[in-house]
Amino acid sequence: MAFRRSGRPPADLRNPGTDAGRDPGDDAFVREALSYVDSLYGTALRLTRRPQDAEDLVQDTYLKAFRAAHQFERGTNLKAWLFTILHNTFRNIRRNVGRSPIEVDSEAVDRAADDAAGEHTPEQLLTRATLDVDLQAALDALPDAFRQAVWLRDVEELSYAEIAQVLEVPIGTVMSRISRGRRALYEGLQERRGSTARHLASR
Amino acid sequence: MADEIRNCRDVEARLTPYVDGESAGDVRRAIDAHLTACAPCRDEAAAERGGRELIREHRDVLRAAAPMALRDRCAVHARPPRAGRTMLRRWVPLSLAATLLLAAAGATIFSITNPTEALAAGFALDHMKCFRVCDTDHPLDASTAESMWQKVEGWRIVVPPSDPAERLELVNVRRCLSTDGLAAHLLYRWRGEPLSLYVLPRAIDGDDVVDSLGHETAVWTVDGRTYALVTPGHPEGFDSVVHYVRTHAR
Repeated sequence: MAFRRSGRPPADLRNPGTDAGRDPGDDAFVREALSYVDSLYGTALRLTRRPQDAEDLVQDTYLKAFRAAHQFERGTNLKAWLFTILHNTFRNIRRNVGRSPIEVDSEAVDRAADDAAGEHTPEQLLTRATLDVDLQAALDALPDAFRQAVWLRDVEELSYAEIAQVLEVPIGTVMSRISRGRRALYEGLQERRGSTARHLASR
Repeated sequence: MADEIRNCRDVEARLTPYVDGESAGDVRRAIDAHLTACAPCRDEAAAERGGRELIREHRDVLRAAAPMALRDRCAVHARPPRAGRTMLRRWVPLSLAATLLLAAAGATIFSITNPTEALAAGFALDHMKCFRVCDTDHPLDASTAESMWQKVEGWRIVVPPSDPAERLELVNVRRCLSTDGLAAHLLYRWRGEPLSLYVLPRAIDGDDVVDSLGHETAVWTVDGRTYALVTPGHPEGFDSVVHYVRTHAR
């Protein structure tokens, strides 16, 4: 991992140099950064669970990233750098406002059911839709720390070292959270599917 | 490395890279040998592999597409400010220092040597940003803004309503990110110009009118809350709108 300085990028943000502006000619940086907007939004939605808050969080992440662009070291993973800013910003917000009541991410669940329409037979469709909804529910049921680690690894495909940077924990902790998160998810889903199957059979 | 794998705990600590196919050859062989002989560890490895594959197979469903307009709103932040750029650049280090100090933590706000000026700088910057990226084209009813805020943020504000005599029109409400979500930000059009009211649920000492980043900012504290009214330039009649807002905002 090769972030410049041993500190984290957002910590650098609090101590900007004399010029906090990006090199105006650097359109490639902007283009690449903006190409991760779906990834950042998806992750923000998992963190905030509210679409409007997720949009605010992503916007604030880009605002900070573009201001601090000169602190990004070329050749390192820009996506991981953006995730670090996103998570730091989220931690700061949560620290200051406390955990406000969270509405269930019903949109994501609905979307999962809608997206399942690519299958062919009604049986496949039902199986797939049920699995997707169960998977969303099992994922949402994981403790935040496990879900974040699993998400960054298996959905966003960051390295252990990059996840350690984003979540501000040692690599050993990252691996342990991924391991426990994956197992809890698998076991939770087995249970859900067992009860769903029993429910369907009893009808 | 393989010598270090002697028991179940050693295996568990290395299970994730093993399942991810990132273990070195000798470690992999040592874990293979352990799993052949140890059913509980074998079950753990199977469960971890099962969870991993479930998520990876359904990645596309789990991912969310960002709303179309979000990318454009984010791209705005990459562009240099549209107006007053020369003056603004001179002020950037100060404004960023102030804003980022504010962003550092709510508590930090109150230990800044001159909290009013730092707060004014942070709000002026947020005011400029929000009027570039938010919908300010449609009037908003004050009671609607109040109930939206109460429902989403869980604390109550009294929003000064639009007022034809002041030529003041409420157009939006949002959380102010420059205070890490601590403050309510009410966006108005006043005589056609952008005007912001911030309501911070904390008290800071000192009522003042501050010129910050080319913006007139009135700051006052009442009953444990701090209010800031921000508008560009030095418009005549600012006192009057400050009086109106002070009378109505809670």
